[in-house]
Amino acid sequence: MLEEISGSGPSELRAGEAQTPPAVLLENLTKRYRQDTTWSTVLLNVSLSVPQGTIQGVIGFSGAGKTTLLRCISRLELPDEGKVLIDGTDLARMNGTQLRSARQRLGVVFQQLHLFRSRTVAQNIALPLELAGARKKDIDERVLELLAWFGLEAKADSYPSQLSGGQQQRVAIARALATKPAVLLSDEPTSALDPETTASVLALLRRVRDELGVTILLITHELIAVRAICDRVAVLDQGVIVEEGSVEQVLLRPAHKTTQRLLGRNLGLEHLAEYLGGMTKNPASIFLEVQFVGESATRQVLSTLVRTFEITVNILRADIGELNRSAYGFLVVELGGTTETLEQSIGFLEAHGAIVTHIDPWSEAETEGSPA
Amino acid sequence: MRELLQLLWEPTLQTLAMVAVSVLISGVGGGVLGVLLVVTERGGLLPVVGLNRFLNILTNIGRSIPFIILMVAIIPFTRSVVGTSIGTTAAMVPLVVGAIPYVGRLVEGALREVNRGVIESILTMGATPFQVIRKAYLPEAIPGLIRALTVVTITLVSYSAMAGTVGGGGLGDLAIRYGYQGFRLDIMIATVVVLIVMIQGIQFLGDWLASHFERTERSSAFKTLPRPAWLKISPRYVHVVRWGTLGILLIAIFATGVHIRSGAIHKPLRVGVNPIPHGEILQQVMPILEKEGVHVQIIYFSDYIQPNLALAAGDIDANLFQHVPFMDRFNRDHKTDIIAIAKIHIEPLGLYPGRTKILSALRDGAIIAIPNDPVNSGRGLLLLQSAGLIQLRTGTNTNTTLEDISQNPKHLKISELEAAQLPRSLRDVDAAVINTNYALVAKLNPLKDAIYLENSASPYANVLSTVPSKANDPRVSALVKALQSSTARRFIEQKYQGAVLPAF
Repeated sequence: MLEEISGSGPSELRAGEAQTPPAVLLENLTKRYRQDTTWSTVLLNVSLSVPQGTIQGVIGFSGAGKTTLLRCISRLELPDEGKVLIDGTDLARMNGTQLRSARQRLGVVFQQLHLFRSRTVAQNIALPLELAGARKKDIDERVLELLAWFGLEAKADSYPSQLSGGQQQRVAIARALATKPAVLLSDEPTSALDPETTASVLALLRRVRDELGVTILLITHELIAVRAICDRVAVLDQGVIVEEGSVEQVLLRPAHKTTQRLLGRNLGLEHLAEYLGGMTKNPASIFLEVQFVGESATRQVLSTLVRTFEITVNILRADIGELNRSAYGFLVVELGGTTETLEQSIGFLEAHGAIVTHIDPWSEAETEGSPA
Repeated sequence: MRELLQLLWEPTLQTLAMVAVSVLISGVGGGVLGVLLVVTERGGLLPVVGLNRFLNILTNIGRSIPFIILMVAIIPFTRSVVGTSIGTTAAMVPLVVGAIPYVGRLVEGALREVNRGVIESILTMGATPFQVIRKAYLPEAIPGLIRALTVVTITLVSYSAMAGTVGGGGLGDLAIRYGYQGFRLDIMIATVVVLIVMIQGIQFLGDWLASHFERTERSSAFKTLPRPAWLKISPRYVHVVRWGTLGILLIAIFATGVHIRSGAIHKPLRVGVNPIPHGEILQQVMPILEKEGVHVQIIYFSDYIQPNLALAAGDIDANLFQHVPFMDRFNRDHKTDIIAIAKIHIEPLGLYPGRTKILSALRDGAIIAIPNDPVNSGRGLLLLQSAGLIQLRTGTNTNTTLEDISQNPKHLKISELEAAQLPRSLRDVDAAVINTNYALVAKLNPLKDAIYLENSASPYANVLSTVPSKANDPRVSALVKALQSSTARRFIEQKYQGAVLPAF
């Protein structure tokens, strides 16, 4: 029954992955706004291809153009140039009836959800179907199906104001999926939620992709959402996509300065110099950022390291979590020893699957202080 | 008490009918206007900037015209819509026209309160502009719309007080007629009490409905407040509430319809009057007319222009409020052919003593004050001529001014003063010509105090007027007979104690 909810189930997805066109294809999307007499470019030549069944993250600082991107894709704004292909049709070229029916292939969950306070949960979910002119019997059937899938049966007759934040999120997602869209556009789904609810909402989005086969485009400024469920991620900075790739690639080996800053900010590296206080730089020690993914994260690599080599280890920061369903560990350490033992140590860590990056806490702080 | 309730009953129904119907129609009309104001603006759902500007200007014009002026100005329109320019039904037309721009602005405001994001979210679902209005703007604005409608209803209750101008009746008119003009404090207070109860009821109903549709909102503090069980409506019964409200409105319309129809079937003789004393005199002779089988409907007017316009237009069959000089002037100005068919009473103009106490004692060069407005000035001069004090070269022509005095044997100094000031001038003049209403205010009794008084031969007697085509209607003849009966004479003499005299 649940496979029927989406147009294309995951099984047939995998079979035809190479041939099927991308669910979302952005081509040279450009948007300019007029401010008094000058024009400012908010999006410039944004191109992005999201394969069907993928969860694609778009991450960036505020002001990077994320909101404009969302509004251009959902056609609340008309892009000045470029194409927005959703499930093969170009929304940017459409108007009137054509656009309205094409919009049923794209579900949008806004940051503020925008549930209708005058409608019950069931009536909110039914709304897109009513607009599409579905028969009452079909609407009722579909709404019941979605209520069950999202665990909202008990809340069917409640009004949005009577729900918790997490429940409201579920209603908004259910409503966006009512017309069985191919693509779900989700704007900051986890902002303003507590950590527990954040985790459950993210898990729900993953289920939507896994079980219903819906392609998800997730726009966020929070690394946690990207790390938890995205397959791929694009980094948006001042209207331009500066880096795009698999989550592992982009998050573990960030190539662009903005990506590094995004990661750094999230991990609190910019405060490292403060923690180290007035400590003068010890020429005999180095600072490393060490990331473990998958199996290596679960092994006790660090303790083996200390036992094997003549070095001192000072752990400045540590974090474990999840990166696209793999275990993920993150450390910032200060290693002290001879040049030789230090080199050997780095070789040992990399041999055990860790990604090692040299960092300089003092310059890190400077970078943060300099204007972006 | 019984009398009071009887007096209040009909005006209360009239007010309710006027308000219910005008709220309903102006609600629909103003609703459409409000929606158009929002959706046609630049950047709106269906931007038509020219239309938006036009509607804005039209709305502002509509809102700037004082209601009382609007009511009179649109009389031709009113007649073309409801077939008459007087009565409760006719009063509904200006009420609706006056309320539509007001409702439009309030609806516009309520719609603008709807979260812009909600509108955008329904657009991304593929809604047509019409669907956005029907499924997002209107339902999401319901609490605001109900509040707006409450304000409109209350405003219309107070607007309807002015309906008396076109004979529309209602509570406001009752308060003005009996309370303000007739010095019946008890009726005025009773009317105001009924109005207060009505307004409180409307406000309570509006607040309750609005809070019900508010869906307990985001405020969690409110959520914890236990609402009384009868205030809770499960979503299941929302449609019951909706249809119930609609039902009440339909009943109101139906009642109004019956009210209008029953009036049309009986076709009584419609007589326009000023409430005092004309209306009171006519009331007295109603039993006589009923006995004769003549059914008379009294239509009260609170001004002097409408009764003649209504008569000329055929909305009423006769009127009783004016004297012949006024009627002549009206006929000349309005190209009408209203005729006087019977003198009924006179509110006599009198010469009251100042420093000189008797007519014959007026010395050479005595000072006499008369009113300074054209009609009463001429009337005052005629009174002085009839008292033998002066001679006018214009004879008994009512168009007389100071210039027309041909003989003034006592060299009287005649000075013109504001009519209301005359009683106060008595100490400084030898005598003054004073209208009865102002004399009464100054505690002067026309019969006892005046040294000379107009009599029934005066051209200023109030007359029953009609149009030539109705002059021979037997019902009109019966009306004349009743108004000139001994019952009427006795009533006038006893009730008004000389302030009003029979003129037959």
